[in-house]
Amino acid sequence: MKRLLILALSLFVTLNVKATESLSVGIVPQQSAAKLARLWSPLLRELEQRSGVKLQFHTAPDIPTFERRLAEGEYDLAYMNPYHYTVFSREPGYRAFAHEREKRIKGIVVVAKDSPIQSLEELAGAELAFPAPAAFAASMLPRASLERMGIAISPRYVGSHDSVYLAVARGLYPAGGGVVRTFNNIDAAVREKLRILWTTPGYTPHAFAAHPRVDGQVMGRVRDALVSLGDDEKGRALLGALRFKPIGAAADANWDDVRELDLHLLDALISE
Amino acid sequence: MRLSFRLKTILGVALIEAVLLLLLVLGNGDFLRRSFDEELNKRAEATLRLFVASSQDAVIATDLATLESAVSGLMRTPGMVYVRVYGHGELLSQGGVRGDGPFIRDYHIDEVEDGVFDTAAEITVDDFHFGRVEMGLEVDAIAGMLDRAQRHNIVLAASEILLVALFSAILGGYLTRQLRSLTEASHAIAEGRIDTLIPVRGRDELAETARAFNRMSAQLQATYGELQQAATFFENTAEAIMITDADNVIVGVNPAFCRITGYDEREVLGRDPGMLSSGRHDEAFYRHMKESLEHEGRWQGEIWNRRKDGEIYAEWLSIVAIKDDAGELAQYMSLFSDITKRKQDEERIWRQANYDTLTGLPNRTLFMDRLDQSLHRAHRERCRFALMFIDLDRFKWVNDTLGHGAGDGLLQEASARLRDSVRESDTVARLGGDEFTVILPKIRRDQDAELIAEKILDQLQQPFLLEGREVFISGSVGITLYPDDAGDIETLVRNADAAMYRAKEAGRNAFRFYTQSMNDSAQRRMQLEAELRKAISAQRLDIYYQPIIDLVTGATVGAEALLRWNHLELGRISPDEFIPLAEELGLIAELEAWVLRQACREAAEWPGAPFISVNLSGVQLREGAYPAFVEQVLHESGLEASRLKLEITERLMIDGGDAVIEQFRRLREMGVSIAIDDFGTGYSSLSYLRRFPVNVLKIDRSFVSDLSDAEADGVTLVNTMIAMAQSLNMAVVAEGIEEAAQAELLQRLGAGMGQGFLYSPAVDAKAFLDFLGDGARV
Repeated sequence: MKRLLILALSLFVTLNVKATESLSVGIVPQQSAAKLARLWSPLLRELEQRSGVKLQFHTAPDIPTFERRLAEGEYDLAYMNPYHYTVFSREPGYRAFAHEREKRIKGIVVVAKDSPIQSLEELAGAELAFPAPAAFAASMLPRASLERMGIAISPRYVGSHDSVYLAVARGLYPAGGGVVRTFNNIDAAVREKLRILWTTPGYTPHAFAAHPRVDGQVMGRVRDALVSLGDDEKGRALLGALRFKPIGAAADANWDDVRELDLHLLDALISE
Repeated sequence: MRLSFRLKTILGVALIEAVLLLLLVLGNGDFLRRSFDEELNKRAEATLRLFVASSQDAVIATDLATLESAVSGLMRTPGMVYVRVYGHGELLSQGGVRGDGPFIRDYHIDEVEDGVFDTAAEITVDDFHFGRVEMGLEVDAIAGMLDRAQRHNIVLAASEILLVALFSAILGGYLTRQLRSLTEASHAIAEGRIDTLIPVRGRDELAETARAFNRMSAQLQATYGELQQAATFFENTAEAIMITDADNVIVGVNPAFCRITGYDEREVLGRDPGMLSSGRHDEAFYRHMKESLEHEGRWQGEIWNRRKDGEIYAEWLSIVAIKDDAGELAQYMSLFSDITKRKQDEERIWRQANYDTLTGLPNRTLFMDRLDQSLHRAHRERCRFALMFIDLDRFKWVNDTLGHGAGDGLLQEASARLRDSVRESDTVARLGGDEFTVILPKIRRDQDAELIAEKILDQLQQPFLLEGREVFISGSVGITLYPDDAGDIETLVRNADAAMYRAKEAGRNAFRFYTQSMNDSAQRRMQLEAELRKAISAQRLDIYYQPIIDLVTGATVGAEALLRWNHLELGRISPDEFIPLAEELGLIAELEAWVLRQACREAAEWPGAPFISVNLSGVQLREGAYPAFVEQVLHESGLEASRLKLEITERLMIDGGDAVIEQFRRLREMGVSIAIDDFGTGYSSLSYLRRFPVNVLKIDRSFVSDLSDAEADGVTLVNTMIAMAQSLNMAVVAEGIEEAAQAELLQRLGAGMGQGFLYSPAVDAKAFLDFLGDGARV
C-alpha cells in the first residue's frame, strides 16, 4: 500500500509540472551531450526563473539526428544554425525569436599550426574535415565559398566541431572547417596546435526558434527573459559561459542573407 | 593413562590442527559473509558507475540506439536481473524484468529483497538532473559462491587434518620404531650381548643417535675384548702377577703367582708382599726399589724371594706403579717369573765355561778375564800387580810312571797347595796340563811377589802322597809385573811364560822375574838372606852403642844397643834392609836374643853402671816366656835388672793383647824398664800409655829436628809430650839431637835425657868404652 501511495504521488507531481508550462529546448549538438548540458543547464535554469516557464534541456547524439528531430518537430524550442533555420522554418515552421545581437557568424578553415599551407588554393584536391554536411558555419559556409572560388575539395564528415579540430591537430586531415566560437572553446592544448587559415564573410548567427505549437505569449516570456540576460551582471555571466554576446529579439527576415546562399542540402529531409 | 609417544604425537598434532582449522574456517566464513554485502555494493556501484559514465551522453542526448546496446551489454553481466534507464522523466531503455511493476520505487534501494539486490544511480551534470539508471543483481550467485567457498574450505581443512594425522602417524611410527630398537639394543647390551648393533636408516638425528649407539657398542666390544684378553692373559700367563694397592696390600694374584710361590690366593690377599721376602737383600736394596718406583714409576731386576715351603728362589721382577686419572698412585702391578733354574743353568754353564773340572780352579777363559780385570783396576788405581806362571817340574814323569790317576791326583793336590799359598784376593788358575798361573793384585813391593813365589816353591817341595807313595816334585815360577814389564795382557802372559822358562833353565825349583832389575834385587835378597842366615848363626853381626846423655849434667847415663852388619863382600848393610828380612825369614827372635845376651854381657862391664837400652820387636813375646828368658840373660850376664831397658814400638803396644801387657808387668816387677820408642809417630794414645807399664818415653827424632826451626808448633808438641810423660811419671829421652840449641831447648822444656850426633853416633863397644872414659872425664 505504502509503495503504491508513493508511486501515485510522484506521478501526480510530474504530470502537474508538465501540465502547466514546460517546454523542451533542443540544442544543436555542436559538442558532446554532457558538455552541452553542463554549459546550457545554468542558463536554462535562470531563464526558467525569469520567465516562469519550465525549460527542459534536450539535444541529440549527432547533427543528423538533431535535424531529423527538428524535422519532426520534437522540440518546443530550439537553438539551431542559420541554415537549419532556413530549412525548418519552412517545415514544420519554427519561428525565430532571438539571436545574438551583435554577432555575425563566420566559418573558418583551420590547418595545423606547423602546416606549410598558406592559402586556400593550396587545398585544391585535398580531403577536408567538416563536422557534418549541414553544419552551417563550419561546413556549409566554407564549402560554398570554396565552390564559388573554384577550389575543388573532398569533404569528410567527422561528427562534431571538436572532432574536426582534433583530426586536423593530429594530422589526419590537412585542413578542416570550424567556427571561431567553438575553436575558442576547445582545449587550449588542441587549439595551440592549430592555425586559422581563412575566415568566411559574416552571416546572421544561430537562431532561437519556437515550434508553431508553442503559445505566442509563452514564447514571448522566454524571449524577454533571454534578452534581459544582457541587462544585468548575472545574466551576462551566464551568457559569457557560453561565449554568447547579449541576445536580442529577432524576426524571420533576419536570415534572408542565408537564404540567399540558396543551399538545398537538407531539402530532402523536409520534403518527406 | 600411559600413552605412547606415537599416540601423543598424533593426538596432539591432530588436536592443534583441528582447533586452528576450525578457527580459520569460522573466521573465513564470517569474513566472507561480512564482505558479501560490501562486495555486492561495490560490484553494483562499480557496474553502475561504469554504465552511467558510458551512457551519460546517450541519456542526455536521448540516444536510444546507443542506450539499447548499452543496456543489453549490461544485461550480459552475470547475476544481472534487470536494468532500467530513465531520461527527461521517461523510461528510455530497459532490460530484464523485476517483478511486475514498471518502477523501481517499490523496492528498497541497496537492499536485498526476493534474492535481488536493487541499486540505482542518478545521471547529473553539475547538479542538473538528466536521468536515472536502476538495476538489480541476483544475490544467489554470490551467496552460492560463498557457500562453495565455505564448503571448499571445510574440505581443505578436513584433508589437511587427515594429511597431518597421517604424517604424524608415520613420523611417530618411525620415531617409536627407532626408539624401540635403541631400547632393545640397550637391553641386549645390558644382558651382555655387547656386539648388538642398530641398523642405521637415513641421515636424520635419529640415525645419528643410532650411529652414536653403534660407535658406543663397537667401543664397548673393543674394550670388553681387551678386558677379556687381559683376563685371559692374567689367568693363563706363565708369569706371576701380583697387584697391590697404594698401601702395598695384596689385592690380586693370578694362578701363575700361586704356582710359583706355593701360596693360595686366600693366603696372600690383604697381606704385605714382604711375606715373600727371602731376607737375602739388605735394606738398601729395598730402599732403592722404593725410590725407583717413586721417581720413575717402575722397577725391575732380579730378586730372591721365599716360597711357602721355605725354598728360596730367584725371580725376575718388574713392578709398575699404576696411577689413576687424577695422577694419584692407585696400584702396583708386579710381574715376575721364576728364574731359579735359569740362574742355576747359567751358573753351571758359566762354571763349565770358566772353571777347570779337574781341579776346580778357574780355567784359561776366566783367567784371561780376571787378568783383564786386574789390569784395568791396576791402571785405574795406579797400583802394581804381579802375574806368575808355574810349571810342575816332574809332572810328566809322575803321569808316565804312576798313571793318569796319579797325575790327576797330583794336579788336584798341587792346586790345593797353590790356593793355600796365596791370599784370598789372589787368583790361582790352571791353564792346562801342569801349567798354573797366579794373579797377585795390589802388590806394594817386589818382595811381596817374591815371598809368595818362595812360599809356592816351598809348598810344592813338600812330599805328595799319590797312590800310597810319597812323591817329590818341584815347581818353576816365572814372575812379571804390571806396569813395570808390560801394559797389556798378551805381553804380560808372554813375559811370565818367558820368566818361567828361565826359572826352569836355572835348574828348576826356582823363580825368576821377567826384568833383570827384578832378578837382581831378587838375587840380592836371596844372597842377603843366605848371608844373614850365615851371619846370625855365625854371630858375625856387630852391636853398636849410642850414648844417652843427661841433658842437665851432660853425663852419659846410658846407651842404646844398635845392630850393625858389615859384610865383607856386600859392604855395610842397613838395618832398615836386614831387620825386616830377618823378620820375614823368622830369624828376628834368634837375632834379638843374641843382641840381648851380647849387650847385657858387655854392659855389665861398663864403668859407672850406665843402663843399656835394647830394641824388642815383640815376636818373642808371643810365646809368653820372654820374661823368663830375660831373667836368664840377666843372670848369665850379671847385669842388674834396673840397668836394662827394653824399647818397644807404639805398634806393639796397640797390637799386643793382655798377654803382652802381662809379660811387661812381670818384666817391670823384675826391675826391667820399658821404653816407648819413636813416640809420636804411631797411634799414640793416652789410654795405652796408662795401661802399659812404661817407664821411659822416647821422643822421635822428627820432633826434635823440628825444634831447630824454633817453630811454635814443634815446641808446643814436644812440651805437651814432656808434660804428659811427667804427669805419668815417665822419664823422657829425646832422640836425634844434632844441635846444642835443641839440647838447650829440650832441657828447658824439662826433657831429662837425650841422644844424637851432637853427642855421639852409635859406636862399637870399644869406642863406647872410650866415650865413657871421656864422659867420665868431662
